[in-house]
Amino acid sequence: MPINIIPSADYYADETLHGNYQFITLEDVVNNYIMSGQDDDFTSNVSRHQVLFQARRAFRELYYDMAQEIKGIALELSPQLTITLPPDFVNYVRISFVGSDGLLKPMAANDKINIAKDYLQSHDYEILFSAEGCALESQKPSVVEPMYSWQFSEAQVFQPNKNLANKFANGSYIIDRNSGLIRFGSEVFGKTVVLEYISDGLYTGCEGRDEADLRIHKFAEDAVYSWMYWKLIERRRNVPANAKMIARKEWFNSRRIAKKRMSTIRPDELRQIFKGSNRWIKGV
Amino acid sequence: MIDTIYKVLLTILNKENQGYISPEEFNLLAINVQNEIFRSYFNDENQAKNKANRGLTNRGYGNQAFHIRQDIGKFAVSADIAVAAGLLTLPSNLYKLEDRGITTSSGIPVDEAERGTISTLLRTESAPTELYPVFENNGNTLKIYPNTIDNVNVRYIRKPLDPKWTYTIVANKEMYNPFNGSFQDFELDYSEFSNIVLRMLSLFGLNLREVEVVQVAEGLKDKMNLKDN
Repeated sequence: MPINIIPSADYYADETLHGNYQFITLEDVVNNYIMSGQDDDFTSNVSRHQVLFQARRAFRELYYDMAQEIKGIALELSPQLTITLPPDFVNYVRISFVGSDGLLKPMAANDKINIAKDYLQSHDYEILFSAEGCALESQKPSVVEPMYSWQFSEAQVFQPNKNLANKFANGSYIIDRNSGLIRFGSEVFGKTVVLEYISDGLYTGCEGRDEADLRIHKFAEDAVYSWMYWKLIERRRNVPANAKMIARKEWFNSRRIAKKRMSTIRPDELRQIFKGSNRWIKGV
Repeated sequence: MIDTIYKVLLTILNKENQGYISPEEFNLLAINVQNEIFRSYFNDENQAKNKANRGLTNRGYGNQAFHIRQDIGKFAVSADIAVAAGLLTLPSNLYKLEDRGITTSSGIPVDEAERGTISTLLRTESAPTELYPVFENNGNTLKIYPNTIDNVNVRYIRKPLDPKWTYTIVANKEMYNPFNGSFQDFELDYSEFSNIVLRMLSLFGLNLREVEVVQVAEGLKDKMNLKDN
């Protein structure tokens, strides 16, 4: 039942409905798009599964840089100093450990942590292969490199360490996308690590939502339709080029509006920022 | 309507008692003419919509697509049909499925996937699920994906019933008897009266080898078509 016709008492009693009114579901998006098509619409004969495909792509596009739905998980770090990326992980927003005061201590990315695979080699340095012809790998965990403030290249040229790891006392990490792991420096051994990340809004496993509950914020609704229309006509031969161009522009414009709406600046927040602007920060 | 049409035809053709049409002949050609007119509705609706899309149709009594939909709508049927292991057996009186006319018991539309695309579709992220099911044509059945769906509602256009002018013999003459169990009037709208007469005239003209009748009937038919479009 659409949430706007649910009695308030039922809404408050059912936790799964809380805050739902701000969203529109993927199914509604698909049905609305099909329903709103006119007979002479370029996309009037498009099948439902093609509409669904483009709706899913629109969700992805908008979840990446507009939806601002940040998920978080807290995990105790294993002795191998790694954590496995969650199944719905697409990219991280921030990685921190939980300090003794209970606050998050943001960590820094360190691209000098070794994520290389260790191939097994013979005494004459030949790579060893399995019966299937695949290179054999060492099972030992990757060694965590120590961090230096300054690095020397082979030519002994003094170069600054461009990553921020040396400036963050909170430790460092590297995302090993191929292995699906986050590897940490030894500073956070035994600590609880919090990973804040974004997904694509389409994951239906345990960490995600039921297929019927996949949703996006209503501010993005128009952008979703614009994307769908553009993509559904983009490769059609009988659609004039200017119609395609207008559709593309419409998508970028509606995405801009959606982004702007999602990043609302409230007067109180502005006042808060200005209030802090004249405060002296020690050590700067 | 069937008796009036029969009488009109006899009046036109049976001049000087040379063009008698037996009820059996009439019934045979009546089936053909009804099917011909019924079949043309679907193309007519498309043409009327194309016309409307060009801005040449107005609302109200002149809305041709609306009128044709009414004509077709007389044959519209909705039926709940069980699906066994993903297969739905189509009703025997089915003429055409309505576009997006199949829904699951919870009202979710089951969309058509062309046979050439289904194998690829099944391996994509938009593969059919209970929320986004599809069907493909498969002989006199439809194959529904996913096969967990066990009941659907099918909206379709049924075949028109064959018209039959029934009679009893009284004094060696056929007397119209609409109370016979096998009686069936034309199922088309009364507005098709002239259309039926002209088409039947044309066919009977051929049958009787009356060139004049055929020419006049064809001429009138063309005139009517021109006026309609």
